Amino acid sequence: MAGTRKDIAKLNGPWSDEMLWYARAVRALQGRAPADRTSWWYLAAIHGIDIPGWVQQGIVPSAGTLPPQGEQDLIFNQCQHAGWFFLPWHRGYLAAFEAILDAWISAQPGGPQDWALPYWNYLSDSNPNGRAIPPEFLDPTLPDGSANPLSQVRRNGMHVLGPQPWFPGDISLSAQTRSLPFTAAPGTEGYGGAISGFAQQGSLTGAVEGDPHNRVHVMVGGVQPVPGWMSDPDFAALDPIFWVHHCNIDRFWAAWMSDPANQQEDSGAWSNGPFPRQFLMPNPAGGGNVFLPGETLPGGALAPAYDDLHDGTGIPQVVAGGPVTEGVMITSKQAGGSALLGSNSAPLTVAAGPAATEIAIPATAATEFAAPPGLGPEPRLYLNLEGVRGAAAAGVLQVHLRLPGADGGLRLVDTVALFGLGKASSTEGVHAGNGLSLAIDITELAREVQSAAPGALERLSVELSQPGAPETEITVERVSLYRQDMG
Amino acid sequence: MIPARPRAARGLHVARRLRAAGAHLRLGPMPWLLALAATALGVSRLLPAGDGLAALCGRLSLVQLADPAARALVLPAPGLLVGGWVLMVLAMMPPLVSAPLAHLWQTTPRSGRAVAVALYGLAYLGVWILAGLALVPLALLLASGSAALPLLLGAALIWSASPPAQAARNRCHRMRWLPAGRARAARAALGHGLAHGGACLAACWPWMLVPLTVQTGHGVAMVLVAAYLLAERGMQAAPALWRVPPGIVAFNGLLPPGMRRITGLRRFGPGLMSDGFAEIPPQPRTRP
Repeated sequence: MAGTRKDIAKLNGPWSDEMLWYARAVRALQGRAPADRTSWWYLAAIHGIDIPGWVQQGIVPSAGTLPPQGEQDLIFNQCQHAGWFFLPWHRGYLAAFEAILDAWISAQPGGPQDWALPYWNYLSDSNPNGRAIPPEFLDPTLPDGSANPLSQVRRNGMHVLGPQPWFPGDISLSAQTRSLPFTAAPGTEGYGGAISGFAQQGSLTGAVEGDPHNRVHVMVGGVQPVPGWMSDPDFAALDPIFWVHHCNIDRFWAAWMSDPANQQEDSGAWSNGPFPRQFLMPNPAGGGNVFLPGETLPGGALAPAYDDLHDGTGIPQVVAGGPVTEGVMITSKQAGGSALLGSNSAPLTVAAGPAATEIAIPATAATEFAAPPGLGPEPRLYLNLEGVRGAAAAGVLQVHLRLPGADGGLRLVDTVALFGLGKASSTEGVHAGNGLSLAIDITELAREVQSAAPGALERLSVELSQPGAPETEITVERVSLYRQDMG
Repeated sequence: MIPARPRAARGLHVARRLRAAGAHLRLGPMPWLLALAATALGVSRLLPAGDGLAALCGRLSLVQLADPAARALVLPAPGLLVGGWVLMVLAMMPPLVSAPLAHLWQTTPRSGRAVAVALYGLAYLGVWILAGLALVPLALLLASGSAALPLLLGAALIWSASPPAQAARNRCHRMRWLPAGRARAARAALGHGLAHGGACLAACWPWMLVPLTVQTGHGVAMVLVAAYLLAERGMQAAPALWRVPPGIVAFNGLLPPGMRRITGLRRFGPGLMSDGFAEIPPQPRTRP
């Protein structure tokens, strides 16, 4: 049985016992055949696999070494993104991974009996170096001089998370600290994403998935000269840093649920999981089990234990010294109703230069966001990028509003990390080519724009650009504005 | 660690699967679409017995079909044939477009939702109704004798397993966001409906012949085929390869063991097939 998950930076590192055993276990799993349900390769393919790409990079010797197609259809390519199963599916995935590593570690001479997956606390309040990739993932060798399996990966991104010319944005705790429903209404933001079925790329990215999850993926993986493994869902889980990153994302969710102000989704459609395809994970014996999202909630068989739910999560400790538990406010709560106000009229192509478009919305809708907010619940306004597609595995887009007039200038809306862009755009695979879709809350910015240039919101000018020196185009099928009631 | 389920808990697991199915059948416009399908099925049962589409299947030869005089003797009024086909389409197809209709509804301004959904629906159903010009004569010719049902069912399963069918199913999952402007949005909604109708037709056409081979229990056959197609529609897109028909994979675990043996999933492990639950039995540890 796995123990309590701890902050890598607070272990006795570098190369604490926990990290040393992690590296040894990774090496052991990498020694297993790809068709072995407990091998490193099999576990990574459960997240996503591009078989020709894996063979081309020498990750597996040939497609014939993988399990039969029928088994692949049941268990490979399961990762849930841009939908309300993002958090519970990854929690179950981490649990299966941790159990398999723990089984190997606890069977080794001197192996701890309570090993647990550590987490990378990149937004730690107490560790000024938290944003740096933990050194164990960079060292070429283990302390005994042997090759380090934690660093034998393809990474073309940052060693320290933060703004760079090719990614002029940052990670934040914005999802943790804003008041958000778990489930997003269409065209709006929710903590966990929009209602979806079994979807490797659903209709709308959740807040914590967009930032910091997607950003860390793209920052670590990079986009040039070629995207690293972390930037592509079909390769990401091959990088051992994937697991400690997701462990921290899972801790964010645990912390979010510990805040009584937040309400966790628990409707039947969510807690019983998707239909007809189910979530299926291997177990240490090489068998497998289905799990349901409801089992990942506090008190469920898959609820993990963390040493700290407050440091670097944006969720304050309500009772000093109180127990570390997940929340009790588990109810079904839908977000307020939402509706499309307006959109642009033709797809956009963003190449090396910026691309501009306009969204027209009714004047009555625009005036709602002209006045300063009152005391009661105010409607929110969301800028949506729908059907974002591109050939590259990942990408970065900067979104600006252009104010009218010669000296109107640009206002930055957001810098978005397009994790899994290529996979979501392919019509040959599991995504049907629908691309990525995301919603950005621009309510406060809209008030500023209306104040600076009255009427600007009625014909909102939006500009999209790729920072750095992009080599491939990104297309956006539609740019639109949605309004949500918050009453 | 994900706990292994004791046998005693497996009944509960199936019950939860059924609850998951039930919950998803209540999402979005699905209840309305199921009601529409049920109504069409009910009306089709009211058609005069013996003159319905199914009652005619297999009674014609190619020579009779080509000869107007012989055709007039055997076939009922064209209106009845057309009506039978339209009702069959309405009884089986609407639930398949629940996801795109929900997407259209949610991503279209309130003032344009009804028009967008109506245009999409008309285009989608129009493709299917026109397809009857080829499918009904085909059914009249093929659906003859006791071997017709197993043969057409086998052909439909083989088609479902094939790469072209998977490519068509993938196109059914493709969504579109309507542009601003009434005329542009209307054209896009029509195009979206035509594209989905074409993809759905390409994915499902052999299945529509199957109920036409069944004269007694034609309505039940329609319901069963529609449920199969709905399960297949619920499976995600996938690379266009030969594969176990996704509808069979979807129902795996709920099917009786005899049925499961034909799925090809046995190689995933005897435990999966014998118990009917998606639990993989342990495998021998292999080393490279």
